[in-house]
Amino acid sequence: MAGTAEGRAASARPLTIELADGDPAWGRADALLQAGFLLETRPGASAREFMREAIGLEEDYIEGVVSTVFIDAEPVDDIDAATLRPDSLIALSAAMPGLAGAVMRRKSPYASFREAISYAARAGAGPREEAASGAGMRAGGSSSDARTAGTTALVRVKLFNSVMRDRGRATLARGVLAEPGSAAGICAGQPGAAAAVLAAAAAGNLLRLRVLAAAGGRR
Amino acid sequence: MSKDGAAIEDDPSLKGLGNYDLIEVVKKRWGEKVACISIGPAGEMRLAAASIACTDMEMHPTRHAGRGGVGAVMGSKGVKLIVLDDEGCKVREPKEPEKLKAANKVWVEGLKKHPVTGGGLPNYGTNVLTNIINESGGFPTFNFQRGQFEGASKISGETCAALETQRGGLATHGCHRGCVIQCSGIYNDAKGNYVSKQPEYETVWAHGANCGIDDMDAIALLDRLDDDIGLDTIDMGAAIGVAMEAGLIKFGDKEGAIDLVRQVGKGTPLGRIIGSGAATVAKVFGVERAPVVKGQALPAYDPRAIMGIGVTYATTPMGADHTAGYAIATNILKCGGFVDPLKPEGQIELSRNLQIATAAIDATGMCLFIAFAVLDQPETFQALIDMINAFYGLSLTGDDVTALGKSILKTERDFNKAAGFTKEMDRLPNYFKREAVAPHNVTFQVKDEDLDRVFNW
Ligand code: SF4
Repeated sequence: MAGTAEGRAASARPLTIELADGDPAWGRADALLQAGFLLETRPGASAREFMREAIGLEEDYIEGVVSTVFIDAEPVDDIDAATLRPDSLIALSAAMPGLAGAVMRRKSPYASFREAISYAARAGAGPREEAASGAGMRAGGSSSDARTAGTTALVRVKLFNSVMRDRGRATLARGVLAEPGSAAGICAGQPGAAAAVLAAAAAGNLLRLRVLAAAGGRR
Repeated sequence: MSKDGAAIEDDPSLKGLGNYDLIEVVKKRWGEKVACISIGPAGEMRLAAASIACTDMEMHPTRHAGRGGVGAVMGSKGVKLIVLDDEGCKVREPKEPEKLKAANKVWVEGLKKHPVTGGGLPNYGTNVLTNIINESGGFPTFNFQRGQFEGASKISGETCAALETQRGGLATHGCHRGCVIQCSGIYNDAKGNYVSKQPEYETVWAHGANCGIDDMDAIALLDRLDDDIGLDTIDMGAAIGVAMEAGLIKFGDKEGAIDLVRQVGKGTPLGRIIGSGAATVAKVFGVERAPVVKGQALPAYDPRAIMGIGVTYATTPMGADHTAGYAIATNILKCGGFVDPLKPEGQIELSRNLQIATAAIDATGMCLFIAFAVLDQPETFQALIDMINAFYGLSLTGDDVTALGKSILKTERDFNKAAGFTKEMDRLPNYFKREAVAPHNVTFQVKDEDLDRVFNW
């Protein structure tokens, strides 16, 4: 798993790159979407609010497709009650096969099979109490800082399967934050990109990245 | 076997052949339109992890009856190969063709419209589960020592499908002509040459995360070797994981893992131990952490994180069978009462209902992956019953299906009892109760008395 983003600032200006359809870098972009990138959100935003505001998913899509949601490895049943705190990890997936796939779905009739790890079963315990008291938030630094206490929380996001396929590119086009190392492969060969990646890495910053489909490509 | 009947031949020249070479012999002798059921060297050696191979549409021996050591049974009878030639055979006629056609239409529509059978499975195959089971913390890693694998996204269904397409393989493909779902694929190497069918989730987990291997090419090669030698991929991955824990090779050593499987094919003393499965390997090398029930290796879901599956692993007559309690419509069948989706049913009752329903669906001969559409869509479940009724001129109801499931389970349990199995064997290994698994730090907490209630109906 990627390490915590705690205390990391982000590069001030986004690095914007364009990829043609069929460019192998899209494969590396998919790898980033699965392995995890970062987005800014309101501390305390519910999972549903996060999906709407930070990723731009519509209500129909959330209800119809995103049937499996994890926060910090805990399968979520109620996306309105489940909230994000700084350094949370949220993963979004469509309905999955197998008993295990069905078990992990939101409000699954088989939820008792995973009651020991469900979000509701652990809410309020340990780290969440810390989150509620504001611990784990870092005071804001420069204007380019990725987190500003009380107003912005940086959360790690993973998009899987159909969600990655349907909405991954749109998410990258809106802009994400990434560890320079994990973004380097996507940017390889792009004019000026290597310098921006190196600069972010040297400063220990996250890279602010926008990936656009070149004209003529899909989305 | 052909339209003219069955003939039995003695052919010592086939002895010791891997399934792939064996099929080449078949092609020369019987042509490329036959289908085959065969065993590899593992079955001939009567190893406990030996499988029975069936050929796919491309006449590759990639579809295996993998679990339970059935290849050893075939080997013990001295049967290496069964060739089926349907030339000149008549297609079976349904009793009520119009009704069958109508039911089949509803059935196919149901499978195509469901997000799992119409989307997740055809697009990414069963390995689409890697990312989400890893995310749940229930993805057994390093011989069940942890519940998450750092390299999961490198071996996920999403990554595998992209690789297959890029290399000129196929990410959506049926394992037989009649399949509507098409969850399989063709995996090629970097040069575009065929290696294996698309490795299944269980295979990717067993040879991947469980052994600390995050290289899709190595996993596909291990899948190919298992198919060729005739081995269950779950038990082989679990056996190698135990061998890694014993220090025989290191976790993540893909060359070492490939060598161990090759040794099984060659029948070296070490190879025979590995090919006898995880339970035997653990005994030989003194490893307590043997993830087995009734001698069979646990599949790709940690029963501490997903405890309900642990109930099924422990109690299923076959031992650690993840397909014994699949996602079947317990609400539709109403076996054991109606399940209120808002009031989660107990794990014991749910495991019981799932096992009953799955036994019945298995008996229809349908691919188990239909279960996902049947789970969510009552009309699709009804279409299945209508098809069976139309074909055979029956009037089965949901209740009959439930009764069938119960009778199958009872027969299996009676067999086990007669073979000396006791309720003490309906248990997970003790260490699952004692050792917590990260990231959730949970142990298996279902009581033995509760496990003993699963088959009380
Ligand atoms: S859905 Fe079943 S029948 Fe179809 S390809 Fe997959 S395993 Fe084979």
